[in-house]
Amino acid sequence: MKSLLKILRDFPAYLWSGWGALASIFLFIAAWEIGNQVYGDLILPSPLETFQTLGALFGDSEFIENLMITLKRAMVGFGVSLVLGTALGLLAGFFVTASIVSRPIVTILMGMPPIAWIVLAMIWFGMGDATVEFTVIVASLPIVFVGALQGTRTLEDKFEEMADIFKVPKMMKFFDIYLPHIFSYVFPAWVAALGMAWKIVVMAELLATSDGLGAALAMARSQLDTATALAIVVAMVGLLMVAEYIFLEPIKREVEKWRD
Amino acid sequence: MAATKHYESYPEGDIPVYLAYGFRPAFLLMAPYMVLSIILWGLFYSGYITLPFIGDTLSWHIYEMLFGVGFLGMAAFIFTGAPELFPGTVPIVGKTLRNLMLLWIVARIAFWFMDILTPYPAAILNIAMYAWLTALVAKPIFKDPAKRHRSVAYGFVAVQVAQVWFYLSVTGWVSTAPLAVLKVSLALFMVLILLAIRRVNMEAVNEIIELEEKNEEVFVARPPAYNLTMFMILLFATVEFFFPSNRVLGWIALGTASASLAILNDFIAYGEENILGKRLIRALITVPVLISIGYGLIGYNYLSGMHYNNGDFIHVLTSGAWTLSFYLVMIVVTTVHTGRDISKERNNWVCFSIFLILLATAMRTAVAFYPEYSSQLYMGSALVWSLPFIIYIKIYFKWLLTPRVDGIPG
Repeated sequence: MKSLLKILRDFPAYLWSGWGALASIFLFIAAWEIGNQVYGDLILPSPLETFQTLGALFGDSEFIENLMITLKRAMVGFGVSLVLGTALGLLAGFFVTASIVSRPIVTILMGMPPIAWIVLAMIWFGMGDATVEFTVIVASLPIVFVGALQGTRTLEDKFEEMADIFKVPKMMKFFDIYLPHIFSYVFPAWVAALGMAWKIVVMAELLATSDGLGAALAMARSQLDTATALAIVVAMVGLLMVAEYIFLEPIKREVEKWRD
Repeated sequence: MAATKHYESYPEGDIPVYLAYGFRPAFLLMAPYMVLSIILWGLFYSGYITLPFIGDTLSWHIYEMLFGVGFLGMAAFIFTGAPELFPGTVPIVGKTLRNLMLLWIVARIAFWFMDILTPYPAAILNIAMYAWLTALVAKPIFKDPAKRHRSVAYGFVAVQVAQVWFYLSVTGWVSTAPLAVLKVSLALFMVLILLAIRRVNMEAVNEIIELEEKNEEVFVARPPAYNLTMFMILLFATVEFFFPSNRVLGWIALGTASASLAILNDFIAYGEENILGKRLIRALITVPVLISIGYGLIGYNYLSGMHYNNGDFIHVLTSGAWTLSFYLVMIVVTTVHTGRDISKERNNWVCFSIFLILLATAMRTAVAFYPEYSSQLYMGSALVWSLPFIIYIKIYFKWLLTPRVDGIPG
């Protein structure tokens, strides 16, 4: 609770610290504008046109519907990865044998390109939600798993010893010693997994479904509607940035501060 | 007090009070000169008078405000700052100071009567004046083994180069339009202001914190946000020079506006204590805020199809940020370097003056939105803009003309 209040108190200052980042984003947009002037509207629509198209898209019910479908798929996939990955990671972390056994498997899972998973999923599950959600899960679960595993593996014995000497109650030991440490590893892993889930969902949709943002992107490509395609890309990047930098990053900073 | 350490190497001899330290004659000349120039300009631009001897009046207005007034500001800043930034430096006082100021007066006359005297006397005198100042400044800066504050010297050189370029264009040796050169010069002056206010912010804020003795934490004005803003300003000026109406300028301007707001981070993130409530600090952070508003409006104008005159928006930078930073430097330096306590000198007239500068800026910028009232707004903003300097003359001239209250020379 105290941490939450602190995050809220620091939030305006944190938000203000974004001006520098915004300046470099504007610089990037300026480069994009030059690209538009050099290559023309068909290849690279101007930022202004793209933002206008984006504004129009948000007033279009079909786009909102697609957005919601994508969000649902991403959230289902991410949710399963989060719960399963954290639970398995913690288990593997607490038992060295499980850790030794699971590590190579995770390495294989992480080494497998998501595009290969999509192909397999399309064969297994056909065209639809399951293919997309499955791909999201296999791509982001290992990230959460490794975070949770590292969080538990790096718990320092001396703190536990000290807690035992002072006869710290079990609940207190869990909430004040284990949890902050593990959370400081798990939370950043969740953030990374969310980013991964968001990218994978669109890619999977583009190849395996007829609805969602990915499918809309495929449609824009087939119609050579570069402005819409870019607007969808901006929407995707924008949503991820808002989720990551407005909601998650302040919490991440707070939980990671503990480690210093 | 921190600001007295650097008075250790003060030269021997009988030096009149008004020449006892760099800022004294500079501010004694600057305040009346600003009032005179702006009122004349206001009367001229609103159509009440003609100034036949001046020649190109718009260039005169911009050049004198930038290079004429700017010179005094630069001299005051560096002559007062150098002995502090580089301990052991002998301050420039007495005869040298008097001669430099005399040269400034003659150079002003030469520029004012450029139409009669031809541009050459003005060119020679003004270039010589800047060269002399740069030479005086370069010595302590380049002697410093730690190479601190070299950027200030480079800034001086850049301004001088712009000035030479301006005169080459006025005399027809290069084909660039004088106004285009003056736009580039404005960017260079904005960069100099940022270089200066970073140092002033650091000194003034720490002085306040130290004197209030509440908090031990040192305030640091970290360079990245200032550097980013300077980079963006220079990028804008460069692109504007080569591609004057390109829409890419809109995005760069918005980037500059954002970068300028990032300067406030140091103030916002300072320790547990909120220092934003202090009056002087609020005034100091208004400078980057004005830079941001100015570039923000310019950016908006470029992206929305140039419905307004950018010249009106540039005045948020000049009448606003530029003037306010000069005014604050005048107040801080006059208070601290006449041996007074900046945290105790709470003068409501200063607050009122800052309000007047902001009001004048708003009036001048409003011309963009209400062109039908332009003549009233030009004159009104010129009058309101001159008031803070009249107030300065009334309150601070007696400080400039009397020795330091703590008995230290300087």
